[in-house]
Amino acid sequence: MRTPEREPLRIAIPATGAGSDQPPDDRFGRCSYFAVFDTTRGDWSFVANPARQDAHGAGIAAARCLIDQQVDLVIGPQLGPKAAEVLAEAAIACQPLPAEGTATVDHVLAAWLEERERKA
Amino acid sequence: MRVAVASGKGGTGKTTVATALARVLTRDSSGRTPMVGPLLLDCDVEAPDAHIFLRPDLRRRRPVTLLHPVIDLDRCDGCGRCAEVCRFNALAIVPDRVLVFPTLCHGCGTCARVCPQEAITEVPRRIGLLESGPAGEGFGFAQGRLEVGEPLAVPVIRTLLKEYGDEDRPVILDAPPGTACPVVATLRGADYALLVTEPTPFGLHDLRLMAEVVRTLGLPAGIVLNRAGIGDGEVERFCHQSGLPVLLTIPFRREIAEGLARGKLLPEIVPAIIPELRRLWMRIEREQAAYVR
Repeated sequence: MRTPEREPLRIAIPATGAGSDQPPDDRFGRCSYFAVFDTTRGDWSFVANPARQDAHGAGIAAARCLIDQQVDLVIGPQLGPKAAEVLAEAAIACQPLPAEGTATVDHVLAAWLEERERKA
Repeated sequence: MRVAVASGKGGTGKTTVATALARVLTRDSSGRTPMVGPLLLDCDVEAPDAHIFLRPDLRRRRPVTLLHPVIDLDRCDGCGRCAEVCRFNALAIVPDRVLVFPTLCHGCGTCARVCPQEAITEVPRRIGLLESGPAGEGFGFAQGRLEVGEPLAVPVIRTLLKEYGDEDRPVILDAPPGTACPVVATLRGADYALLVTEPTPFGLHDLRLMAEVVRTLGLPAGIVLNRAGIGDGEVERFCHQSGLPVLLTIPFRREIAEGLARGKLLPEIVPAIIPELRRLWMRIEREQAAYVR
């Protein structure tokens, strides 16, 4: 089986709309969009979540979408066990939304970039 | 003749009515054992409870299985067709392997058919149990039991009905509560729906949903009004307007609740109801025959 090649550091945040000024979605599997930030290119893309209307296994299908999007990190709400398993198998890291400063996905990303800066 | 005892709202008295009706049919009006006794099938496979009242001798047990895909990774090239066609998202292609989530799988086999590498084998997996045995002289009983943690009740109900639902005797199906897939699966195995309700706003709300289900399925239906005396007259008004005959009324009485709590059957608690239950069965037969014509 092939292993997908990955661009380094693409970050996905479940979002309620297609814009970096939109708030994060509090659901993973049935979020409206994935806001994907590419740190090498420094730009956003917005991917409609194909699983948002699914009656079954939405978390799994959403996680598959993130594999296709070659995402490396998800910052978002609590994951269900099946979605977590798919992401873990694909070596996609997950971290929770920060406790504060989550008005928009832009804010969430800024907080993450700041944290990375601080650690470096 | 197969009668499903259903309700929409839970706790209206499905099992009370189903077990009472079945018990009364074990004797004819002169007290003799009839040529063909009743068979009660407990289709509430997530929480079967009729056995508590009937204490059957469950001497026969066998597993209910559902197929699920097992993937030969030596053949799989990771093309992803299987995950693409799965309506239930039970498969995910990840680096170096394919994840299968058996509890999401409905066993349809589409993944195995579309796999270009023929890397998928369908393997049975136990999801439940059928248990059967007599509940008395000439009184047949069987139930399905879904394994803890399994989400799919429908295959267990279908297997139960396939195995026992065609017997040429009075068959009474104790349906699960609600109006979702498990209830529809039960009703599909019935010739008549006996809807147990109570004269409360909750009873009415769920009876409306239930009436729509039986109409959609093209199934004749009649009403048992339980706990009569509480609530209001809205349920009876609704039944009248929608042409659903009220075939039996069971009063709200403390002695009935106490008797049921001790595991007694309704005809044991209120012997006066025995002839009424007998008439109920004859009425159902008439209504059903009239509907078919």
